[in-house]
Amino acid sequence: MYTSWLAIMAGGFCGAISRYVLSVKISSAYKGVFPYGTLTVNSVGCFLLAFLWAMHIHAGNVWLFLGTGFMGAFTTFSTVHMEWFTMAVKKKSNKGYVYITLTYGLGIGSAFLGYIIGDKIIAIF
Amino acid sequence: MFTQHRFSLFAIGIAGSLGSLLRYSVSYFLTIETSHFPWATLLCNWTGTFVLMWMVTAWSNHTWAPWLRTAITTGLVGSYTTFSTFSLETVLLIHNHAYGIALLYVISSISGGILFAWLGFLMGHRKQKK
Repeated sequence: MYTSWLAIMAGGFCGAISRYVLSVKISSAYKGVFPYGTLTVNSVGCFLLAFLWAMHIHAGNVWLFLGTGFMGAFTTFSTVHMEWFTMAVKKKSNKGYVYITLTYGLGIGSAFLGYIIGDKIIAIF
Repeated sequence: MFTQHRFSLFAIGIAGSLGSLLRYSVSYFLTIETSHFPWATLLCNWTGTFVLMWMVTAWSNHTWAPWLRTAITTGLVGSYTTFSTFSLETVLLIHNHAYGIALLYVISSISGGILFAWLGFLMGHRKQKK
């Protein structure tokens, strides 16, 4: 019970810091309202989580650390919709719709890709 | 050296670990389902979006330390909600030919996210005025 809590908390600790550092770095490289940082972090996280799952790393403390903890905290849903709202309020609703479409499209798309690649690799062994 | 920047990152990490644990608690009895509707993730994402928008709006005039604000919003709520689990669940639903549930899940995530962001803003705005 407590080791599983520890695994999730350690993963969440690293995941949240990684998301913050990466998204700030990426977003500051592209000046403007479009949140490239969150978009990148979410797409990468979706790929890696599906990859881990397909590699049969979906049980035990390793999954709780890497999957539930790290990838769960690394990616975010609330920030996406907050950023969308901010764009809509600033009368940048077209950019907002592009952002939502890209987030969901790239997220599910990269999860598919991660799942397929992980599945192919596990088939070799 | 424990600089201001490192302290702020550490606070985000601590908040992130609590957010992850909170999300796990919500989904404790509902592990990743491969053919059923993923209520737990949806619940976390909806409530997290509402809370984040409420906080950002209601606290916009507060003179809180920036590190504390970032830790609670980006760290705690950001980690409480998740996009990777949502995507994986959608892929697994499609993989198991549960196309209808997958479509319903995607649509309710998007529309719920938009709706709860608005609601959080409205409630936060009302709180801010008081």
